[in-house]
Amino acid sequence: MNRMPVRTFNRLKMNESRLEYAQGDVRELNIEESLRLDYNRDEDIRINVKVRDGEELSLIVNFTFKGSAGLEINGKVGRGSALTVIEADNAARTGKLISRVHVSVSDEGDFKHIQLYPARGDVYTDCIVDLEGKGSSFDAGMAYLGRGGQILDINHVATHYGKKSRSHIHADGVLMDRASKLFKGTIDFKTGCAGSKGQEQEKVLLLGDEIINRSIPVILCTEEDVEGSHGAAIGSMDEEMLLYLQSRGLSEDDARRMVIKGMFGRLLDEINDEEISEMTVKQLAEVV
Amino acid sequence: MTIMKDKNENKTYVEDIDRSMYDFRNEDADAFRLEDGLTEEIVLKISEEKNDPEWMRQLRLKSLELYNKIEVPDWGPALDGLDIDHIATYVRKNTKMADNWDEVPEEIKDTFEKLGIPQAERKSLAGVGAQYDSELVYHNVREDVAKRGVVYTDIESALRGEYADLIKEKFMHLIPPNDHKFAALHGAVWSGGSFVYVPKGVKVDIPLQSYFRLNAKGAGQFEHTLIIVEEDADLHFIEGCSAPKYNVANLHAGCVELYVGRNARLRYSTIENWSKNMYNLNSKRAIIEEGGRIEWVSGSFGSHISCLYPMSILKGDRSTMEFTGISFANDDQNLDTGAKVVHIGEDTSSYINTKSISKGGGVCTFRSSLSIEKSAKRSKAAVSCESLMLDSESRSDTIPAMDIRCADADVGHEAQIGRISDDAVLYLMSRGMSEEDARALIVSGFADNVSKELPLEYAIEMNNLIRLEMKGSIG
Repeated sequence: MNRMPVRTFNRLKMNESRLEYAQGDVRELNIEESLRLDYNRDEDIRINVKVRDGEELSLIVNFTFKGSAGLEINGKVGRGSALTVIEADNAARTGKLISRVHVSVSDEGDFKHIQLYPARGDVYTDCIVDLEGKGSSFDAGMAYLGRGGQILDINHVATHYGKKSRSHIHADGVLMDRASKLFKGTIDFKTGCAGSKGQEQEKVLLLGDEIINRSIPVILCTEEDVEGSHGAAIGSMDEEMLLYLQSRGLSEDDARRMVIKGMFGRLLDEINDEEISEMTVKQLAEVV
Repeated sequence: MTIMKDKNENKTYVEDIDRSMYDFRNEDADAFRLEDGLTEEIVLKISEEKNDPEWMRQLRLKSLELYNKIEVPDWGPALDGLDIDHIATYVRKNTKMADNWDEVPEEIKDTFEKLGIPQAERKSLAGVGAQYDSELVYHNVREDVAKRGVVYTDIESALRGEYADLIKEKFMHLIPPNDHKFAALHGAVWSGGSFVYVPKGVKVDIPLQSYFRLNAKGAGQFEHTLIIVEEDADLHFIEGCSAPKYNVANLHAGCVELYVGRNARLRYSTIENWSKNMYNLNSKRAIIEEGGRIEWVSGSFGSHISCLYPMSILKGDRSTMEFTGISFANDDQNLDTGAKVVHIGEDTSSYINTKSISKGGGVCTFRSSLSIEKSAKRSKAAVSCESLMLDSESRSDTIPAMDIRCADADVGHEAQIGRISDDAVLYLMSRGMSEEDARALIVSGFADNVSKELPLEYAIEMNNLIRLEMKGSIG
């Protein structure tokens, strides 16, 4: 899974991810109204979401299962409508979380995807968004905490077909211990998507001696009238910031806590869900 | 070059760079040419022609075996139009290498005179090498430079001279034949190229230059460049290349291996201007010892397809690398270029800065890989790439990969793709500039930080052509 739209040097082992996972029977849900799903069993679920023209729908999935599970979301966002999908991983599990999301967005439609991964289990997430309509938009926000020998394998592909479409992919995370993260983010501007803008941003705080941090932010472009950008800042704690915080009476550990919480804080504020916030803070408390 | 107005869109554009100064050809009736294709018999014939030592003969045969085993890469531009069965891997003019320009045959001399070689030597170079098809035809180094112990000669001579053991130790050591399919091809059929040795502490103030001309139709050029810059030494090496255009594929699969010693510096500049039937599948790699520095300056303008990613291995502590590149892809061109860097030593740093321009259906891809090993403590790296699309027939992709395995590394990456900003044009127009001048100024500025690094007089004309083309291409 997590195949890149274009291949690059094979020795990097980034073109696709090998995943051993035996999918079981798939429970299928068709939804046209907002839903909050407590994902507490090791099962595979496919959710087909349809947001009618001019309507809004939100889907909140809180993972609390114990072993491994696979979630698949297929969404269609109608004209002038909005879909928000929130995935929060609060599972005290030993296995894998596999999340596949494929959404197409019509004229003036908006798709927002928030993913919070503070838990200990491996995560494979694949998010494919087709911005088909004029003025359609995709906003992806992700925060993760990688620790132990955890694997985080992330793939985002935003394809711009519609004129004046917008995409913004933002991923922040912390890597500790022996955690391994691979972030693949692609913005693909197709001919005809004039006036479109796409942006990718990645911030990674490296806190472990054995971490592996891999990133490949890709822009593909066959349209002249677009603006695309990506930026990444990857490193350890900023010395100057640390000194500043210490001069204000905080210890190094306090400063580290603040930064890790800060990685999740913006998205937690945005989703404004007390239960998920509490569970996420509890997960973070294990390391901070 | 012709500047025209498009009546429908009222856009100013340029037909193409005038390549007539490169696009002339000589008949190769008097040349020795091996039959097309790649067989053991052909490889052995090349080995015999070149009077290889036994170890080289074995390396060629082993490389051939690898070539037949290794698959064509499944990434990058399609190489379907390249058929090795229709490529002559060895073509030699019936002449010997000269160290006196007057001794070079008239026809070849005339070719290089037209290209500005060796006028450049007389003006501002420490030495010049000129390769015509598969063999060097001229090599010379200034006496005062040679007296300081600097060696600049063809690889074949070096294989049999004082540095034979050194060549054996270093040849295809950085880029082994099993690295990829075209490294294996190079190992099997390489011919020509240069050996440069700069002794400890010697700083060569003015550059050395090699120029490669592929004249023969349907042929390949496989020169090998091996440069060793010893401790505290300093060198600037320039390579240029061109070919006349044919309606069949030509192939360039050279190999460049650079060894930069402790606290030494090497600047390696390339102006690649192959014709638009060329498959340029070149390999370049440098290893840098403690405190050493490699600087790459790379201009990619020609070729039908180019795959070129110079690699720097920052082995020594505090070693540094800087890569500055520009690509300009026009109609029927797919230029897949970039850089690779591996940080191994502590406190190493690298900076990759590239610009690309796509026009008239041309494809530019920036492809890079940045690896920071666990041992590379406190290393810093920055990657910056900017792409300019001049129309919607063209394509521009950026594919930068990063693999960081050291917690106290500091890595920054930024990339941008877009067109000319209307706001910037309006601002300049409000200051009294015409729209065309305003756009030209912006695009010149886009490429300026790269083009100012390009070397010497013979590149100036090319820079002017590019600026003129960019100036006319927008609007």
